[in-house]
Amino acid sequence: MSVSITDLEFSYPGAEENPFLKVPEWRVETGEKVFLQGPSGSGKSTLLNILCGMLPVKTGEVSLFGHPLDQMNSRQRDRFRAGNIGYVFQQFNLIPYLNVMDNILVARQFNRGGKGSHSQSDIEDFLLTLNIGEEQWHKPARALSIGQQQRVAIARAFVNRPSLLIVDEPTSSLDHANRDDFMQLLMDRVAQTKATLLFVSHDISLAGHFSRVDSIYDINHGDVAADIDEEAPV
Amino acid sequence: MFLRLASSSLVDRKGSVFLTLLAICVSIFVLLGIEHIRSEARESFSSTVSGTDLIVGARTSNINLLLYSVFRIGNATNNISWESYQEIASNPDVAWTIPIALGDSHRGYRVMGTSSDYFVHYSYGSSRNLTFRDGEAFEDLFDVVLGSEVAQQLDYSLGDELVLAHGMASTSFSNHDENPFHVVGVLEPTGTPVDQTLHVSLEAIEAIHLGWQGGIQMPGFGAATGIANASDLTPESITAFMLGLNSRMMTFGLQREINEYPGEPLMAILPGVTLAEFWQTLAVTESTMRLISSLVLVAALLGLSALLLASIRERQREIAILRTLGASPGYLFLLIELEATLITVVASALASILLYTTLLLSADYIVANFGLHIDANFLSKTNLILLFTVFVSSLLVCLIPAITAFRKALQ
Ligand SMILES: Nc1ncnc2c1ncn2[C@@H]1O[C@H](COP(=O)(O)OP(=O)(O)O)[C@@H](O)[C@H]1O
Ligand SMILES: [Mg+2]
Repeated sequence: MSVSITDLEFSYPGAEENPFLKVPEWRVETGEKVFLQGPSGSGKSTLLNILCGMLPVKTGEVSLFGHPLDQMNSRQRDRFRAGNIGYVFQQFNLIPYLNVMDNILVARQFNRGGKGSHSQSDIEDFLLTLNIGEEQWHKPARALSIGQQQRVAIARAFVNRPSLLIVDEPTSSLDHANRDDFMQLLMDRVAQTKATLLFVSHDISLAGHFSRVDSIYDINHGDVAADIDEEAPV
Repeated sequence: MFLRLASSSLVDRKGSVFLTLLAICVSIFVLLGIEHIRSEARESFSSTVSGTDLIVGARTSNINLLLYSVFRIGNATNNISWESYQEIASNPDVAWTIPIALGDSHRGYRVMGTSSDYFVHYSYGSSRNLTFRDGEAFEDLFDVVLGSEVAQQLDYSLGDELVLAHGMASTSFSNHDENPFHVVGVLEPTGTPVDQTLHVSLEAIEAIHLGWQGGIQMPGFGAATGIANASDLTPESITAFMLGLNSRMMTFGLQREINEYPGEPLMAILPGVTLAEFWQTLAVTESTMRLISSLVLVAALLGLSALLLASIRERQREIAILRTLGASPGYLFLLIELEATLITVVASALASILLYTTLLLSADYIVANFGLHIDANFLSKTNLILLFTVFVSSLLVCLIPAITAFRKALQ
């Protein structure tokens, strides 16, 4: 079992009486590739932040690969995240003033100083398959195009050999060509590493890449007042 | 990588970081510079005279007597009669005396009439005696021995002739032209007012003043050397004298005796005690300087804190990225403190190099103008403590942005 949630309730500070996330039960098997859809404001990012241990669980049980997040303190969750979870978000994944290589290496140090992470030469090979040439490696991240930045973000997400990959609307700032490239490279890598993938997107046309499609409405029974969105599920 | 992250982030904001760094650098420069010059001045000041047990002069304030007899600052209000001097000097407890007669000058430098005992018994620093760089002590009536700086600044060497002026004005109209002096000796530098003094015998002072009254030369008294040599040149009075005792135990007894001297109102001071008293009068100035330089530093460090605090708003995104990579809030706290440390360390290093160079380059100027020898090595214990304090203060002041980053990381 990769992800297991039971009776989770979550609310942001100041709105405790009406929990905004209520998840009675949600499970993801190891190696599954889950496409998670739902309109913006419906709690997708909040759920992902709970899963990666950024937001604390106060009510309910959440475990990843058998490790109960709800019983870890914040320091333990930070370590767990560094070693087990790769994360790509919508935009601005990289630290703008660090160069490409340093952006990847900085992620490595949080995983017990890089033990069990990929070596520098692995990283270089991977960057080349991601179509990031050597001449780009020592440029500051801000000098890259958005498409290049998102591909570097893939390299960084995999550097610590994560078992779970969380990807939150990674293509919404990419054009079609870049989007297809990105999906291709990401799915190839996921297939190679057999990592479990949780992927959030508005873009329903991407659903074909996945082994399973979930709607946030089926997962979340909380008090959600999501935006009405033309891409909302039918 | 931690260090790389902090330094790259600072380099990325080089404009504002550089200005803040400069402000801290200047304030550290001022802080260390003031402390160093203060302690060097004090050191040099308190080592001006040593081995002298008592200084005796006409009754005035302790500090005034010290200032005119040792530092050639200010003037005596009254003289000591030759008889009183002889009587005290012949006290069996007294080992030696150095008479001092002041009042004349040469191109802005003071002339001191004394005896050749001066070159034997006067000592400074940790009991160092005067030594001759060239020549020897005066022997003939119109011989003069120059302090090192007088010789250097006025470019005199052995055998040169010079004329003394009556009073202190450097362009005096009343010169003792009729009695030129010959340079017979030049002393090694001492870092004390000795370097700025011309030394002649008491008899010479007496001789050039023959026929002078109230600062004006009487007509018909164009005292030629022959006449001066022939006259009885025993002085009627001297300005002050220093004395050394056979036993330190006698110091207070003799001091009381001199203070109650029946013949005329005299006083005796212990140079060490009076030096300390005098330095005490400067304590307010000293602590004001310290206070001001500390406040300048505090202002600069607050600037650093403000710089880092402002940066955190721009770096929310960066904080979120580091958090998803697994950075703890404590890591972000330390990152900000590391940035503060880097700026402070670089500023301290720059300030140190700058101060060392400045001291090295201005050493000659300071000696020439203030008679003060300042060592370029300013890393005294006090200054190391000050640097450490600066370092700790910067960490403390930057707790504000560091805690802000910590709290941002928790959200
Ligand atoms: N840090 C936060 N504090 C308070 N409310 C938040 C915070 N983050 C998100 N929210 C609110 O929670 C709701 C769900 O947001 P989110 O999980 O980002 O939705 P989605 O990713 O599906 O668009 C939104 O109404 C948003 O305003
Ligand atoms: Mg979202």
